[in-house]
Amino acid sequence: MTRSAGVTFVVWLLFIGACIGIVSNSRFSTDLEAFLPGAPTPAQQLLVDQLRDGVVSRMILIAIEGDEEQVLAALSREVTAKLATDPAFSYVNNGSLDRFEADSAFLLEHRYLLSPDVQEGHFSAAKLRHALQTQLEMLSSSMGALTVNFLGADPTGEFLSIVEKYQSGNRPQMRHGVWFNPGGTRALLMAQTVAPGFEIDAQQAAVARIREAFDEAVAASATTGAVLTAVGPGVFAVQIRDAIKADAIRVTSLAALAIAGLLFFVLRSFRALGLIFLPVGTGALAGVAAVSLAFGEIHGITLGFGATLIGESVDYSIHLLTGSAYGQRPEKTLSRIWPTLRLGVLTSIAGSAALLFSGFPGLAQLGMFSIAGLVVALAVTRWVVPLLLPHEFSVDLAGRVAPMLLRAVERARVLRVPSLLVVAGCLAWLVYEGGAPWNDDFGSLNPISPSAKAFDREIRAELGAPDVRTLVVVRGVDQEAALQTAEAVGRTLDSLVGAGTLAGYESPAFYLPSRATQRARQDAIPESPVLRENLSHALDGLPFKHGLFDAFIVQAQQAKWSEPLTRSDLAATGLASQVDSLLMKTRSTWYAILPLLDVAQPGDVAAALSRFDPQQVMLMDLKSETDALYQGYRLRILLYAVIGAVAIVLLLLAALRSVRRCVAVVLPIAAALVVTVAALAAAGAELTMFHLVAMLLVVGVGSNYTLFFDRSISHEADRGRTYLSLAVCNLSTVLGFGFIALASTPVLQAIGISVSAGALLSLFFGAVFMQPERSAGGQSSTPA
Amino acid sequence: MKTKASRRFLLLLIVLLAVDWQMMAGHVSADEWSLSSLMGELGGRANGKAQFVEEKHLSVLDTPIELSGTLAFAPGWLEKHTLQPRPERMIVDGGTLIIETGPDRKSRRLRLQDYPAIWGLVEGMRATLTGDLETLRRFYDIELHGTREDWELLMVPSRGDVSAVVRLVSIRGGNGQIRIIEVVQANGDRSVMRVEEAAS
Repeated sequence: MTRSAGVTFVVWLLFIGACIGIVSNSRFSTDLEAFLPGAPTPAQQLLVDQLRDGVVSRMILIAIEGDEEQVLAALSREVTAKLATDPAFSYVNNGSLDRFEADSAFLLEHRYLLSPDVQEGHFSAAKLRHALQTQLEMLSSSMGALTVNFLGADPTGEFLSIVEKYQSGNRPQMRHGVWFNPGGTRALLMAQTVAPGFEIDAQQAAVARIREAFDEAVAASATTGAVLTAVGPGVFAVQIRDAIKADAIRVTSLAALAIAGLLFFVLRSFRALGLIFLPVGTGALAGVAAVSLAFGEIHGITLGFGATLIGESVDYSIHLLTGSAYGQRPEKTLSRIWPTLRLGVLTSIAGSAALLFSGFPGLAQLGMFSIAGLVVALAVTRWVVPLLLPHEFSVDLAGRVAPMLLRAVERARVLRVPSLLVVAGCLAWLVYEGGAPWNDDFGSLNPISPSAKAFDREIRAELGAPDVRTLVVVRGVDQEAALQTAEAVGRTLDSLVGAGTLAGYESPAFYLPSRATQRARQDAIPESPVLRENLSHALDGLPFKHGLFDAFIVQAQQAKWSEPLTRSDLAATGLASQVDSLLMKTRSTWYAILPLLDVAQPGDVAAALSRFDPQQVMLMDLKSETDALYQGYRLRILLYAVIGAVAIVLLLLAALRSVRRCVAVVLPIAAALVVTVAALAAAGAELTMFHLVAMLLVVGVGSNYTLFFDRSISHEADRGRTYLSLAVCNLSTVLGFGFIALASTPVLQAIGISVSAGALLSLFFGAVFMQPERSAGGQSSTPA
Repeated sequence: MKTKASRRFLLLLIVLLAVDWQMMAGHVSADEWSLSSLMGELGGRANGKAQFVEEKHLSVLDTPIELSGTLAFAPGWLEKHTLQPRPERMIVDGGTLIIETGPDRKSRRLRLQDYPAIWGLVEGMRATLTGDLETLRRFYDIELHGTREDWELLMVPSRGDVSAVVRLVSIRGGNGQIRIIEVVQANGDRSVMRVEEAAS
């Protein structure tokens, strides 16, 4: 080993050491947040935040079934009791009245601050008399059974009117004191985790805790067949991760095994086989290190797919190892293939750079990983692998196979016309169809089985969660401002409800009125002597027992002089969850959300709300906003893919200095993409953003092929070996991605099918279209 | 609160369903008068109508409230139609309690399933209708006094959730007729309902 070789080797080892140092200190994240789109409008931002972190994302719905009603109800109580004391859960409800009784004590105590009826003049003698007469009528009706309990403390009936307001809407059926589905076959519960839905590890722990609580409850009961099913965004995120992980490990190890087998067959040397994987291995390590340095953490998905993205770097060492003739020094082979490899890597980098600037942290990580990985892999191929290559290494196969390949490629021209016809046919068909069919349904990427999705929908319906489509989103600089605006919007909505424009609405201010409103309600309660006087006037001639309303006087005064309620006062009650789902802080802005029920005239609502500042009060149609969001997501990725493609073409133009050659290099790849997309479309597949990422990979891999075809190689033997290298590269790519195509995860499937088909077709079209008219013997080698 | 509310409804149901018994008290002439023979009489039920006058003695009021109206029933269905002092209709239909009350005659619907105490009670009443003494005894300790011509059925709730609200139910009747239903609540409030079966 020469001195400079020794230096190279040491530098490489130091580099690996540094990378391992960085990687071992890296933070690995698994939350899906990185792969959620950024959002252009505040409303969409809110939507994304809610998906990520909102109460909905933290809600786990639980069904217990498979035994008698009584047994299921007992299990429901047990599980609820266990989870209620668990710090991982902020709220657990199985519908039991114990929960309601706890909450109603709170409502009763704070009725005068919570009731919207408490306004100036509410406790005047005239109003009180009217209230008392109404109470008297109530006593003679069946409703008296309800009202008599609260008559003395609450003659104006605030408590019952609050309860009625809070209890409106669909609730699940009760059996044996807990929620059940209508058929009585499932006890239903809901549990809200403290951790947001995107923190998959925390969600996994929460699901495990639920199962543990259930198993304990089952062990303590006599049940034999009871089973628990949990659904919800967090639960699904856990399942998705597990499914992808298992699937990815399975198919990528199969693919690696197949590639290793193929290459061993070609190389017949373990040492050479190891050398093939040296660049890609070093590259992957460098990729992880680069991402951790740049982003402060590396995402599990980046880790999983990164190796796939830099898989093409296996091709570099294949070119080096299969390209050397017997007795030839690897430096000679390198000098022949280096310019082409370098340009190939540059085109791949141009493609990946589009991901880097896409604005999605997850995709940017993938871009960074692939750029760093490819550069390092190429460098290792160039400087390290030759040092370790056995002396006089060459591939035996070359002597026999290369001439065959040579003849085959030279004859490939015959297929030009039929190939052109096929490509033109595919293109025409795609144009006729109006482009490739896009799938904008994010759920289609979800590897959760349709039966699990159906079960989720079923339980959701049984729990009576209203299907809200329209929301009013209120923004405020602080919580108080948001609540005050929500109350103002509420007054407008009240009149719309009265006019029948909508059936009703929810508001955080129902459960936590603004401080100003609470103060106004306190001011509306007269001081003790005045209240007593008003009451005695009101009681004149009515048959109520003397002293019955003493409790009213005392409690009204307590309410008058108490501190207004804050969010923390609600903490122990079910109201906290209600408020948190409707009132939240995102970055420095507070949002109040008012879901509208059964909007009959959306136009009227919009018109009525137009008097508010549109920056503060927005009417939001969830369905159309979600659709727009995902569509924007896809369009943005498409845009960056196009930018990447343009960058690649410009790069090739600059490097090849010839429009004709550039077109010749790009066309076979474009043709391969057209045929691949047409085939996918014809097979009924709908394209997703993962297909787009796969297309970028095809461009990277395909450009390596066509750039080699572009070079006219004088030596027939060298040309034969180049074709052999290309064939081995292509075969390993097709084999590797072919196995990935067998995955059951839609994401992996999409990438596997698209890349294997695209790579094969790129090579094929390259051979068909790029072979010159005459045998290339007379031409000189053209430097790239 | 809700449980208290439910307990109040439960009370109403006791009254309503107790009335029901009169309707089934047909024209059985048993030689031996016993709880089981009363149950036997109650077991054979038919449709019917009656008028009622109810006096409510409430601790919150100085004077009692008087209500009057009509009762009607059919298998699985019972209606109490109050005419004075204010019109109101209460219907027990299967597992649902429907109340039409207030100036707007607004209809409120209550699933008996939402209120386990009432539900258990309703099942007990249904057991009575079919003469199922065993099920009835799961909810009440029952004593029968008097003769077939003049009897009194004393029912004391045996379950905690019922006895928290109801102290005693007393039903008096004779010759296949229920005459008086008296319910004493745990808080001392009392309701006495006099029933007169319509000639049919």
